[in-house]
Amino acid sequence: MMPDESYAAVMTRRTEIMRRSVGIDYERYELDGGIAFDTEALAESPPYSIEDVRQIQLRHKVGDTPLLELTRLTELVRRSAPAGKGARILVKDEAANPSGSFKARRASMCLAHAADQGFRGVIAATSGNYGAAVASQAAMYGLKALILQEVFDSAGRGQPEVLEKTRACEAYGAEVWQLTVGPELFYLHLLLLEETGYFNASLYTPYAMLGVETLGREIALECAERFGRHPAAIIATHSGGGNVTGTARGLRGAGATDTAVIGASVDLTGLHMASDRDFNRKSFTTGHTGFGFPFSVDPDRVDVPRNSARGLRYLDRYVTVTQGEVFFTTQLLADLEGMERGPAGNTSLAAALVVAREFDADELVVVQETEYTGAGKHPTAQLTLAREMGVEITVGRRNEDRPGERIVLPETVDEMDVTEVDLGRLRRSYLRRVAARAGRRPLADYEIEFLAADLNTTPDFVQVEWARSAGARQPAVPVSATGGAGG
Amino acid sequence: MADSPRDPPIASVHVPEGEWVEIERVVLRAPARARNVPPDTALTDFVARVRGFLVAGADLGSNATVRTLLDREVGGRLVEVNPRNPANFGDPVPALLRLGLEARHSLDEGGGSTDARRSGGRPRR
Repeated sequence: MMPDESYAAVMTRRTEIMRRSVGIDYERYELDGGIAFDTEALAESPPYSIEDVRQIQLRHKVGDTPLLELTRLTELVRRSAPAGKGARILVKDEAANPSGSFKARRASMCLAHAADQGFRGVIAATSGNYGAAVASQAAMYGLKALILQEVFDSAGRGQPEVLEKTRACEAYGAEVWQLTVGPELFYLHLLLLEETGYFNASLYTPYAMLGVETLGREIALECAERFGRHPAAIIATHSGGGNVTGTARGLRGAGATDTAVIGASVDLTGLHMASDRDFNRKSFTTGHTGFGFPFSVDPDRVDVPRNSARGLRYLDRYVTVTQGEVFFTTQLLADLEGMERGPAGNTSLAAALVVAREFDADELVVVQETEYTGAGKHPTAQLTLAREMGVEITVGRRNEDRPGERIVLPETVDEMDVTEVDLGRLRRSYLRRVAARAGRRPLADYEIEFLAADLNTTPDFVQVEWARSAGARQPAVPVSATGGAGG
Repeated sequence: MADSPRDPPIASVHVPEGEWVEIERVVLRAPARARNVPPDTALTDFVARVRGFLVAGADLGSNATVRTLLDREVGGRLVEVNPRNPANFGDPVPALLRLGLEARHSLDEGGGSTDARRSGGRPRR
């Protein structure tokens, strides 16, 4: 008999489907009470040392990407920085990975694991570079790759960047399901996992995180060797939390405990990520607040029982930039440094052009990724779509920027800024959600310890806020296209 | 999964077996969608498109089966033959070109170093 394919029936089978398709017994890491789990034990569960990971990645053409100094952008920043300020800006050219982004690292260990476990194929639900990374790595292992992407609005209008990713995935031999807008992507993901028996190459497993650790490690080791110091700050484009988590763990593992980890997202506040109308009114498909905020405050709402990507646990600071600032930065990178690169890394680079002014001129600020660019990904492709959707494009002040209505390009680099995200507010929001699920009850000591670590805060903060939130109304859980966030 | 809502074309066009084609299928009709989708999305069907080689000759707009790049069979309504990927570079954005040029001029006037600019140097050729 065919299994019941209705939405409700498939969702009730989700735990079982996920357990079979990911090869990890998550129950083992759960602690009593449903709030805490053993994060470190889960993170260390893959049977690979960091040196094993490096060797596996090098065999599959991943990693050891160049760390490039952006001397002309640094010089431009110093012109408007206070005397003696303006850190050296470096960028890790992750576009040099085989599929053109750091996601090759994240995919590599998932594919290694899938191959070890004897799966014939893998499935990933992602509209981002991760799909191409999974397809590219699968091609190297001789495994099949099936990718689900959120591509169209209901009028059939495709997001240019995601259309490019469809092309890339098919070029690597993947079967691609192009979908209209909505979180039911997760439902179809489950249905196809069940139908094919393939491995769930989730973005959020410990394998995916382990693959990113080499990125932070390479930066820490190379900076120590070339410059005799660790970076003062690393800026990572922040979305689902994996980029931040893997990089931060890699840095720490290599001894760079003095480096500040700064997340940067494109500000898309006001646009609903599951809205058919809003879908093509945004010019960025990942690395934005539409994923960065909900994934920070509700990390476990993904396609595996526990998310190994935990942004708040590792972020020292979180800033946003505007869409216009990222487009301007993309232009500057081409015009002053002779590098055309895709949108994702340019979000953190836009933040770096502002943040570098805070640091001394002999310090290092590292932008930890670039990605490839091309048709659909380029600013001209996105701004053409924006115009067609009625979004105004102007040159002016950043406070005139309105996501979905107006994109404002800054006149000069001096006009750029970052908006600080209140991490305390995100931490409180996270705790309210946990409290709404767990009910009004006192926390055990190990739960306080877990929450404090997961929020990168003090036990006192957790206790005070827990007492407050336990009596509060249940918050609305933001809708995000589960599994599709990427960075 | 339900059938595609698209109307078949008026004149029937036969597509031979083996062509690279695109099919479309409605995964969930609007009323069967998840309860937490926003109101505008809730009015629309949740639709998928998949490409592959046509298993048996079929008319455009009719139900058909494709063999995908993974050698899997997937069924749906035949909507396109040899589908073009519509992603492109769009129109030029003169404002971006101008801003880039101005940044370049501001950096290079006076020889590219802060001290030189302060001393009132001229743009390099």
